[in-house]
Amino acid sequence: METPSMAQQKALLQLEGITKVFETEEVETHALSDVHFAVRPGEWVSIVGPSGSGKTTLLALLGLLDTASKGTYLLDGRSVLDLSPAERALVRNQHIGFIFQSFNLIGDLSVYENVELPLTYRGMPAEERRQRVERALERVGMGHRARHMPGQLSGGQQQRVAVARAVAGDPLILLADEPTGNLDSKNGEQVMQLLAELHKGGATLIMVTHDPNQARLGTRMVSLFDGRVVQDERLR
Amino acid sequence: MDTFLQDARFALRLLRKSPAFTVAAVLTLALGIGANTAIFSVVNGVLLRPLPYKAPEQLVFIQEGTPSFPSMSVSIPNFMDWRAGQKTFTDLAAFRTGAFDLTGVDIPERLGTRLVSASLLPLLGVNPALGRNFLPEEDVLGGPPVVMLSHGFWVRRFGQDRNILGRSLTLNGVPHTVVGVLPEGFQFYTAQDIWVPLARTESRFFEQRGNHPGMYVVGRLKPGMTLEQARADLEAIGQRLQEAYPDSNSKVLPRLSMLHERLVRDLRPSLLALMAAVAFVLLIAAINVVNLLLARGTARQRELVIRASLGAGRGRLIRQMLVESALLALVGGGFGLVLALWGVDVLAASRPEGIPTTATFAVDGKVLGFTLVLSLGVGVLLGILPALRASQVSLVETLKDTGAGAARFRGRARDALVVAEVALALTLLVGAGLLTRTFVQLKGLDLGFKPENLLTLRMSAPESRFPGAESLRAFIEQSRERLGSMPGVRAATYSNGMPIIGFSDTSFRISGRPPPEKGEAPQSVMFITAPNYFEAMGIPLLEGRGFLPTDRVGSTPVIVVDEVLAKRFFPGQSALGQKINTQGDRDFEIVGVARHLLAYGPGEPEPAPFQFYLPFLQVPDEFVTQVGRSLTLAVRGDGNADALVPRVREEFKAMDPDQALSGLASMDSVVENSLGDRRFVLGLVGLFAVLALVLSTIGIYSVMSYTVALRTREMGIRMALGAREMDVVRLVVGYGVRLALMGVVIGAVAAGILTRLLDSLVQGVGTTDPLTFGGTAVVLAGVAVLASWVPARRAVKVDPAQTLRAE
Repeated sequence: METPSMAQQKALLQLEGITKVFETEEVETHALSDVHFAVRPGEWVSIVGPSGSGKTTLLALLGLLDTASKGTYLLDGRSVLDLSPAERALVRNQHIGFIFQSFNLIGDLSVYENVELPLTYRGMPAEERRQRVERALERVGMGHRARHMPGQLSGGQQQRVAVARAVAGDPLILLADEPTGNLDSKNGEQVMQLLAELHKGGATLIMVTHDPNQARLGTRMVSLFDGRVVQDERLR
Repeated sequence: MDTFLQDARFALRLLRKSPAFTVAAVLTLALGIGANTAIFSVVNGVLLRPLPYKAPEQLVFIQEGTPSFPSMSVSIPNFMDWRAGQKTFTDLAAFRTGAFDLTGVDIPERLGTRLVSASLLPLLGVNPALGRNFLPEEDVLGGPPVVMLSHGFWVRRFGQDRNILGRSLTLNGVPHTVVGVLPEGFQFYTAQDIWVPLARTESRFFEQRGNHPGMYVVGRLKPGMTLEQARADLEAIGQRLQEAYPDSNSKVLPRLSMLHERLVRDLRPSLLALMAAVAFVLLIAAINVVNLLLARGTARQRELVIRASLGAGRGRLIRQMLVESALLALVGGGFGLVLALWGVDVLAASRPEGIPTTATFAVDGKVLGFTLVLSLGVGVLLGILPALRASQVSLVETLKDTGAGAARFRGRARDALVVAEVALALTLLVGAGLLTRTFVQLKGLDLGFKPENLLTLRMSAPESRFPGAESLRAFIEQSRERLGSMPGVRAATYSNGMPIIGFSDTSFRISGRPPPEKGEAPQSVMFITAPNYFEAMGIPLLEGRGFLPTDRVGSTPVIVVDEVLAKRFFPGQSALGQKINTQGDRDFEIVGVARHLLAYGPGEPEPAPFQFYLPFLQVPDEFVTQVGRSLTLAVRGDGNADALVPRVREEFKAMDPDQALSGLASMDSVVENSLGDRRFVLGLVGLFAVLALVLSTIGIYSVMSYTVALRTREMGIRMALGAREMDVVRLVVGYGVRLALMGVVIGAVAAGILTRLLDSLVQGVGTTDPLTFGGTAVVLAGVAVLASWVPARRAVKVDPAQTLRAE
């Protein structure tokens, strides 16, 4: 068992006492309650739990797509909970890569342009963008489809492009939300294989999944229930 | 028919089901169709509706002209010869305008007077409402003095007294018997108070063939005769007159045109420009509604698929959509008609003087038909895109609920419509901009005199009260001195005419130089003025002097010419000391050169391009009564000219209780009125341009809002990937501006072509004026930024976490 100070020292990402409350006129819903959670570089953390357990809310908080009601969140040693929307956008852009269940490619942009998009927001010079995009597409085996439009690709291919987009900027951490949820089993397997390769290459991954088999591909499995971490199991 | 009714019922149900859509679409269409209907009622009243006379297609307008002066009034002796010798008309009638003083009543009045041939009313097919027309024996020199009253004057002055017939009115000191009252609503050229026989014109005009006393002629073609035959007929007489009277008639020929054409000739370009402008507004309105229909089409997609899957053919689906849009347009047209009824009243109340009095603005059968056809046309236009889309519906795609093809089609169509809308708005705005620049330039022109604080009025000094030259001169000078010494008055002056209000022109030659060819003598505006005219009117003297009190009968005849005359005839030398020969072969020495006046009004052509001034006090006794019977006075005050009116009236009453004053108006208002036609057209085109701008703003805004709504998820993804607010705003605004710029480019090309049609209305600025084009493009680009900004702000409020929650 590591001491908290060691964990803090080495953690890439650290949540302390994170609570997320959704307030409506009549009801307060505690989506996350007092979550403590740290991820070190090179880990592949699978987050599991039944529907409504807070998986997606946790992922949104980790990805700075949403803010916590209470608690602290350190990313690479820096507190990111009180950042302005513009600062959060910058952190997302530079340090976090997203892989969505339904790919979320922009239909009017080509494969190349989709992968290039976050780099454009980073203000990267065109030549560097080109190199990174080509490298990312080659990495996921989609280099030959760079000029295609998303609508011309299969689901599996679209998710590969989404992975390329997520890794093109060399983020500190990759967040994947049910990455195979919209794919058939064969395509799903290929995508998981791709994630495994990325992990082998040193990527830090946090993945939300329903599938216990996929969850077990990670190095660690965190189980949520009613917004609380009920189990944190090291797999390898 | 049954299925048609079914479609119509379904369409009605749909309209009721979406009240917000229906209200927005109907109001937009009502605005467009209503504006078109109102303007068409003007075009119909002026250009299309026949003149309100018997068989108006047979009526011909006749004037005279030479190659150098194509538009001259008709000499009375020439008219008499035409009338006697012509073979192609059932009759000819002459008319001119004058002013007669009504005296011997409580309040003397100077009456607008139409002097006409006895044949005019029968020729027009009009009978007096009361009494009778003039008899032939009353239309000869020395005939009994008789008068007919206009209906308006009869009502105003005599309270519709039916016993007016046979009563005597003292006009210009002579008792005239009232023989008739003209019908209510009867109009012939400008409205006048009374009609008297042409024979009441001064007898000298019947004798001097070279005098063209502002008289014109109408004729009725014999059945089967054409304008060309009539022209040949009268020109043959004109040529005989040239030979018989070479001194007065050299190169003078009659000039014929159809009466209706002549009346509306100058208005046609303005009215056609208005129709084009208002048509653009309707197109823009229709585009907004098409956008609404396309947006609704997304929601309708499944319904159409179900219809198609149940066996509805392509034609059936197209018809369904067209019936819906036609119904929408008809309802919009109905409300538009209500708007038009109000609009027509507003237009009628603000009609400028340039529109013929015979034209009436009203919603008649032709206008109703126009509205119906327009509404149906708009209905088809509205329905064509949604109908085409509906007919190409993909069952598989839509049932699978991907709808990618449909969305792309609608996206492209929406973009194209915004581009078209901006292009139309730009064209209209450029047109309005050019007219505005013209108007501003004309308003800013130096008139050559100072119109501020200047009251003008016409006075008369009839022979009955001022029989000889001395008494006339004394009264006129006394009037000037008394008015000029009133408190708050800086100066008072008089002339036989005033710039813009009216004046006479005459031919002249330079003394000592070879005389010009017969009929080719240069024409000059002529003012016969008081000694202090230049100072009082604020006309700068560029060289020499004005008139002195010593410039009287017996001293060297002097003349002041304008700078245009001086430069044209004495280039590179001083005109002072040179002599001008005019007024019956008399020489006048040039003692001054004055600034050229915009005598015909700002922007008006100048048939007589030169101007000169003669001193009234130097007019010989035998002519002074011709000049001095009717003069225009100008009184310059310290402040508002209108405030001088009651005091001027009192002053004249003290001098001569029978003095009839008329035309009291500030020179500022005279100048303003001279721009009335332009203001009318500019006001309407400007209004339509603003409407177009507002409608296109709404169009761009609604398309951008709808696009942002459709792309909410995309915005979320972009923000999840690190797009900052600025990136999203730039994306949305950039999209709107790109569409607007495409529209601007297309619109600029279209405007470059179409504004050539405004050539006759645009002055002092080219029809491709870069400032107007550039300014308009900047305005539209600015509007596109603003119209996209609000949806862009909405886009940045998208919660990026939704990209996960929507999973």
